This record gives sequence, C-alpha cells and structure tokens, in this order.
Amino acid sequence: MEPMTKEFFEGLLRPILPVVFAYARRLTRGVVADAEDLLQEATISAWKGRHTFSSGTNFKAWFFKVLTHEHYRRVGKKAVETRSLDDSPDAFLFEQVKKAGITGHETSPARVVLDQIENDQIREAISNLPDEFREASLLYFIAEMSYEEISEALDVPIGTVRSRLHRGRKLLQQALWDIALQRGILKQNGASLS
Amino acid sequence: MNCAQLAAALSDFLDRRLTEEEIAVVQGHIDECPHCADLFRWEESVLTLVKERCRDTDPLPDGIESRIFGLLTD
Repeated sequence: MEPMTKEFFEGLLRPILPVVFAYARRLTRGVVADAEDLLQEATISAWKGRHTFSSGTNFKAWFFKVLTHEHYRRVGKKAVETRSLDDSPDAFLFEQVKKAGITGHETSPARVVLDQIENDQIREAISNLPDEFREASLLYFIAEMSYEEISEALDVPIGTVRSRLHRGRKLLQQALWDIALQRGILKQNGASLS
Repeated sequence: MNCAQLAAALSDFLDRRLTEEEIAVVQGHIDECPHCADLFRWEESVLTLVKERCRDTDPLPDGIESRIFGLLTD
C-alpha cells in the first residue's frame, strides 16, 4: 500500500483542483475568496485525516466528502436536511417550449433555449437550488461524479442521490426557463405564451 | 407504462439506473409514442447541453496551488 506522503497527497489532489474549486465556489455563492478559504480548510482537514483514506479507493469522492463536511461545519448546517416540498412537474421545460412554439431550424429546440443562457448563469442556477438538491446536482454536473461517488461524498444512500438529482433537475429546468424568459427568448423566436 | 410514468422514469433511464426489464418497458413506450419520443430527445439534449456548459470550469486563482500545498506539514 502506497504511504500517504505529502507528494502522494499532492499528486492525487492536483488533477482534481479545478473541479474541487468550482464546487467550492458554488457552495460559497460564487465568492472566490470564500471558496479558497473553504478549499484551504478542507485540504488541512483531509491532510490531518489522511489515515481515513484507503489507498486504491476513490480519492476524488473522499476529498469531496471532506470538503462538503467542512462546508457544513462552516455554515453550521447538519448533513441531513429535512425534505422540502417539490411539486414541480416532470418535463416542465419541454412543455413550456412546446406551448411557446419554439422550434429549432438547424439545431435542437433545447439548444435554442440554452443558447440564450450564459454558462455562468447555468452554474448559478444549479447553486441556487434548495440545499438538498444543490449539492448532489453540483457534484453531478460540475464535478461529473457518478451516483456512487455522490453517495460517498454526501454520505447518503444511492436512492437518495437518485431522488435528489431527479428533483433537482426538475427545479433546474424551471430556473432555466425563467432565465430564458428574462433574456427575451420569446421575442427572439416570435413566440408567445398564451 | 403511460406517458406520466414515462416522464417520471426518464431521468433514471438517461442515467442508466434502470434494470434491463425496466429499460425494455421505457424503450417500448418511446418507440410507440411520438410525444414521449420527442420528450426523450428533448431531455437527453438538455442533459447533455447542461453537462457540456458546466464542464468549462472557472480558472483557478493565481498562486492557489502553492498556497494550498504550502499548508501541508508533516
């Protein structure tokens, strides 16, 4: 088994720093200085707790778990959230786009809608989701983690990951539609909502 | 499977979280229902685009690596 030397730890963390920082930045509402503080604290915590990482297992999921716990500690939040109400319909965006008569001529209607929205607005929309959906969605979309990795990082069963991602996606579609409306998508496509 | 059940199962279908049997049921409905076939293409497209758009991570602040790794002490 490889001993967790400083060099070995650095070698594992360095390649994932961009996605770790992107996640930290979204957890801290986009404030770069706060994201760096969180990342520094998580790094210290992970280094001190390096004996809890089993060599050969998934360092990325382990480090995200440490960082998420550090975030909870900083904001005084419990890892287990109460479930918020979710009455958003399935296929929300699809139905709205059909209703508005938006079609893509040389591209898909989804691209017509999403092309109205900046990358940062999409990430912002994900980070504005209610907490219980936000973290799973950030790990899924920004850190590109599997359900198994998210389950480990958030310390929740796979079924909970599945449900949070499903509900998070529905809420995200509503948020994206609101942004597209603000950006004038209906005017630009000669469409209207009746 | 009806259209509402299909809409509820699409997320799991796209993430390949269904069993072989469940996949066959969902795929069967998509093959027979033009509305749900459209919905499937739409959801797949949105998911792919959002993932693509999130992939472009923010640049790391200057000097962050040395600050982070400078914290590690034996």
